[in-house]
Order: sequence, then C-alpha cells, then structure tokens
Amino acid sequence: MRSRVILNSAVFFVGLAAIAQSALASDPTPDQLLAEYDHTMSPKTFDALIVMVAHRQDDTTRTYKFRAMKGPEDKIRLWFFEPASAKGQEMLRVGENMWVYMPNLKRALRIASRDSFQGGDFNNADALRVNYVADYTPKYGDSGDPALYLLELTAKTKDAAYDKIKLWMHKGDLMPVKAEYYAASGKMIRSMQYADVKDFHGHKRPSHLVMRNELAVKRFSEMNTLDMKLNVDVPPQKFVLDDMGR
Amino acid sequence: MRRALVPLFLVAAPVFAQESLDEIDKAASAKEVPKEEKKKAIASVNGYLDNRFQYSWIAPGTTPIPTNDAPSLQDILEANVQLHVDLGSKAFAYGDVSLLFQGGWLFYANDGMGGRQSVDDHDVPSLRPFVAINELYASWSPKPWLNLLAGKKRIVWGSGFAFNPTDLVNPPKDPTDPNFQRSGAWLARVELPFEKFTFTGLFSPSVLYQENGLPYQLFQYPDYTPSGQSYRDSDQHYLVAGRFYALVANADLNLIYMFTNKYNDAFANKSRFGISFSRYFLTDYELHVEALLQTGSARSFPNHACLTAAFSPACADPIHMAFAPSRVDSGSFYPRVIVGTRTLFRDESSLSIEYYYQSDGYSDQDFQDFVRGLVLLQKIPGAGNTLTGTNNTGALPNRFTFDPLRRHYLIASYSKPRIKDDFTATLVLIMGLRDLSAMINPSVAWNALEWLTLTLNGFIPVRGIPVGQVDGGNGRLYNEYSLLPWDWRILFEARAFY
Repeated sequence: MRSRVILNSAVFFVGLAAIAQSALASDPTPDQLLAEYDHTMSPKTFDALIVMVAHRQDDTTRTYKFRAMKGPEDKIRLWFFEPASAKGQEMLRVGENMWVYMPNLKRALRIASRDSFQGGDFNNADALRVNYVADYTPKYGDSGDPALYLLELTAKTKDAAYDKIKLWMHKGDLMPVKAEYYAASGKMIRSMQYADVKDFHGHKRPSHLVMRNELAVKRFSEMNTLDMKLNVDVPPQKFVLDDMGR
Repeated sequence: MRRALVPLFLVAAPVFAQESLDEIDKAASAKEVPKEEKKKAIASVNGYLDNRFQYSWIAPGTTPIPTNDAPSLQDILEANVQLHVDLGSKAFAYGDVSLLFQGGWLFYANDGMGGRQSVDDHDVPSLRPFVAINELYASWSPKPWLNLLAGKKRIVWGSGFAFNPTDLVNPPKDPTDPNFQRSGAWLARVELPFEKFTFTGLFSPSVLYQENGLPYQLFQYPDYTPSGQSYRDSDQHYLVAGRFYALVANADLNLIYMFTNKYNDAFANKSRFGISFSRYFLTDYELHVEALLQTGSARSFPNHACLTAAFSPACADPIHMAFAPSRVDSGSFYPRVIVGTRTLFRDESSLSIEYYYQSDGYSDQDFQDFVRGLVLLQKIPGAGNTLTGTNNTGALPNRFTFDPLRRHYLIASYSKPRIKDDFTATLVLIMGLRDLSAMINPSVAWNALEWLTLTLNGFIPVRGIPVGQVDGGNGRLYNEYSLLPWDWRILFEARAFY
C-alpha cells in the first residue's frame, strides 16, 4: 500500500515537471492568455464583496460598497450597500443587457455598457462585463519588459466597452499588471493598475485595482475586493429582471 | 403593532457593515446564529430627511382656476424611513413610510379686474400633515420560481421614462423628476419568474376612504351611504391584471391584460390591454414604446350643449353635468402611446426625448368648452374648489403633476452630471404640441456631501405663443399651460440620506 502511494506520487511529480517544462518551452497563445485573464478576473461563477473609492478632481472621495454575484452564462448581479444615497440600488447584466434598479424610482432602467459606473472612472462594462474572450481579439505586442506579456486587444463588437486595450500580464504567475484603454481615435482614455494579489479561498487574483482617467489627471477610482468565493450555486432567478428590488 | 416595531429598530444594525461574504450570509440567513438568537428578526434601516421650500408667483388673472387655496409660500418637510426585515431566508417584510408636515402662506385671489388681491391665511386640507405609506408589504418566495406578495407596493411594468400610460395602479409620477414618486398601491401579487420570462397575476382593491394618508375602507363601501354621496354604491372597486414578460432578442417585452371595475375611474367591467418594449439600438440609444389599448374613455369631457346654454333647464346641475365621462361606454378605440429614446453622450450628459399621444385628449372644441366651463364655474360660489381638488391621496406631493388634457406632447430632458464633480444641471421640457404651450424646468443639484443633496428648481410655464389658443369667453385667450395658477415657481430642496 505504502509503495503504491510512493509510486503514484512519483508519477504525479514527473508529470507535473513535464507540464512545467512544456510551459517554459512555449508561451501560451494570445487566446489562452486572454482566457487566463478572464478566469483570474472574472471566474465562471463567483460571489464577491467589493469597495470602490472614487477620487475626484477636488481631492475628495466617494465610497461605494457592493456585493457582486456572477452566475453561469455571463450573468452578473450587484447590490449596493453604501453610501446611504445608493443603498438599495441594484444592477443586473444578462448577456448584452444591463439594467439598474433605482429604489427611488421603484423600477429598473436599461443602461449602456459605456455608461459610468456610479459616477466613478470605471464604466458599467468594467464592472459587469469582464468577458474579454467574447469581446476582443488578442495578439501579442512588444511589452518592453522581458518579465511581462503584452496583449493588444481589438474590439470584436460595438458593444465592447473600449475599441482597443493594451494588457500587460506577468509571465511568471500570469497575473495582470496593468492595462491601457483606447478610444477609436487612438487616444488613451483610461489606464488600470492591478496590485496586491490575494488568495481568496484558493483563487488568486489582484485585489486592488486602480483605474485612472487619463482625460482628468486628478481623477481615479480604486476597486478593492474584500472577499471572493468561486463555484457558488445561485438560483437562475437571481438573474431575472423581476427579481430586482425584491 | 407599535410594540413590535420598537425591537425591530433596536436590532436594525446595518446588516452589510461586514467585511466578508460569510459575515453577510450569516447575518442575512441567520443559519449559523445560535438557536436562541434565531428568533430575532434581522433588519436594516435607511431613509432620508427632506425639506422643500418654494415660492410661486400666484397669477389669478391669467387662469380660470381659483387660486384661493394655492399658497405663494410653501414648505414641505418629509421624514422618510425604509425598513427591511428578513423573515428567514425566503421571506421579508418591507416598509417605506414618510411623515409629511406642510405649511402654506400668502394666498391671493382674482380681484375681478385681472389683478390679484390678498386672501387671509386659512386652513387648506391638502396642506395638512399626513402619512404617506409609500410601500408596506410582505414578500415570500417558497420556491425560486414562485413569489407571493401582499401589501402596498409600487409596481411599474411599462417602459416609459417620464410617463407610463399602462400604469392604472400607482399615483402618477412627476415627469420633471421621475425618480421622485415612490408611492404604490394596495395589492396582492403572484409572480412566477423564470430565466427568460415571467408571469404575474395582480389583484388591487381601490382605496375608498382614507384619512391623512391612512386607508380605512378598501374594495367596497360599507353598508351606510358614503359621506358626500347621495346614494349607496354597492359596487366592488378593483383591478385584476395579468402580465407576461419576456427577454426577447435583447429587448424587454411586456404584454399586459387589465380588468377593472370602477377602479379609480368610471369604467365598469372594463378590459384593457397594455404592451411595452425597451431595447438598446446602435450601442448607445435606448428605444422604448409603451401603449394602453382601450375602447371608450373614462376622462370627463365638457358638455358643449350644456356649456353654451349654461343655466338652462338642460343644465339643471352644471357642476356635475358640464363635465362628465360621456364616452365611458363608447366603442371607439382610444389608445394611449408613449415612444421615446434615451442616450448618453461621451461627456456623460444624457438626453431623453419622448412623444406621448392620447387619442382621448381634448380636441380644440373640447378644450375651448373645457376652458369656458372653468370660467363659468368660477362664477358659482364654491364650485371652483371641486376642480382643483383639495384632498391629498396619500401619495407624496409631486413638484409638478402631469395631467395631460390634449392629444400630443413632447417630453424632453437633458442632464449634465459631474460639473465641478458634484453639480448636475438638468433641463426638462414638457410641451403640448397642439398649442405649443410648455413647462420648462431648469434645475441644479449639488451633492454637497455623500449624504446630502441640495437642489434648486425653477418652473416656468410658456403660454403666450399664439398657436392653438382658445377663447375663454371672457375676453382672454388660453392654452393648456395658461391653466396653471402661477406665472413662475422656484423651489429649493435639501435631502439628507441616512
């Protein structure tokens, strides 16, 4: 019995070494790398608690706290807890469709992916539509740093939040490091820094994102993930328009 | 009841102040809470304190509507509390209640020569304090695909932004601030939500008697003759509705059937249909259509023959006969439709444009008769007050009430947020397209603090354009927004959230 365990362990480690060797020998394809990004930043299903701090032009801040729950097939639901003026607001994305539930209006309104997310520097797609594999075509670019990959992403669809994205990822752990977001004119409109990689119940990802508005230098927004669980089982009715405000 | 509420407030610690999902789930479902603590309801409370102070330049000479009860100065203080109580993991109770204290001062009336004369401050029923039970209901979801709800709730199925013609249930919202009206209706609802579609069944009884916003008679009048009526109404006043919602080709589609019997209007045993559609096109343009399909109209129409021969034997009771729902049994088709679009520009400013058509709106002749009727009624002591309405309905008082009389309207709204980070400038236009009279509402909102918003509003009727005006029979020409009792209004609002 004991010898079988040792044998199995040996086979496992030899296999692992072979995979590592193979990985070192060849870079992942751009599509594989982009899929890795999606898995890291927006796993298939998750339940997360997030705080967004919007730093404004006058050096003051606005803080938003919300719960984000992602179900299969790219459905996401958000519940806002703070500040008091936003409490009760909810957001829902089902495929190409996004709604915001306004407690004062007692109903949900359709919103566009390019609308600002709670007036901060993220837009709705940044928070609700992290599916780069579906939205962008990747190719490698010159990262300027041997430790980093650079993916140049071009929008496949007009519904994508940005026309082009440059995305740098670390070659070692494949974690995203920074990104630049461009309009159709080629002008950089936003940039993002990914920092503070944390292990959330076995899932590693940057917990601290900083989105800078390149058109208003003093403005930026931070997104801090306080907690995140994967493989959550959420009833599909949580991703139904009529469930909002319930 | 009062005793029960006190402990709820005491345990109303903010459920979501925690820093992890486990803490949230533990608080919400109480699954891991010790047995003796399970009996405690988990509640959260929020709300706001709001004060609206306004000054209106009362113009009795320009309107055929009496202004005696319209204050120049008015203050409305609203204390709102919203309480959410989890009743296990499948049910909750929710209350959204406002207490309103109001005051009105500086009254004016027509001096008979087109000018105004002061009227002593006096008691105005619509300015008394009242309770607005905006929502108060219990919701239970025994299965993920089944939700049962009973109480008072605002349910809006239509996609119209400023106005919802299919909404027969709720108090009307304010097109100059569609976010404001939060009051619903007493109802019971069964809903079956599925991934791509939802079935809803709804029953709502009419509120027949209420005092200071608190209802005390629903559905059917008591066995005694109602106050103010000369007969006993033994009818049952209710609405039954069914709705089918589907997400089809990235569009929200609602099909609605409504059956009403003397439910807030004159229709008896009436079937009506509603449809609404909403979808984004060309990435950034939301398009919506909402329609109410009905035969007949419950609207009160002026009686031309009666008004042209006022005080004749044919008009023995002009107050009740001059305006009557004369087309309530008509077989003619009278649809009401709103179609509109919203878009967001690169600078985050937004534009909403809607066109509203109601085929039972007044024709030129109807409108002239209507105005002449108002002028005539002004001459009958006490009659005018029946037109202006003096009792509140238990809903939050709108800054501006859109009660369209004619057939064609344009409602446009442009909003520019984040001016100097915290200011939002908005311009709303409501225009009657037949006579080009309009209401313009510019406003500036300042989010002074995360929990404090200050707003300055102006309301300016445009009514001098010589298009489609009607002769009031008193030497004056009128269009729709000539009927407003003021020339302009300015309103300052402060709202503090907690």
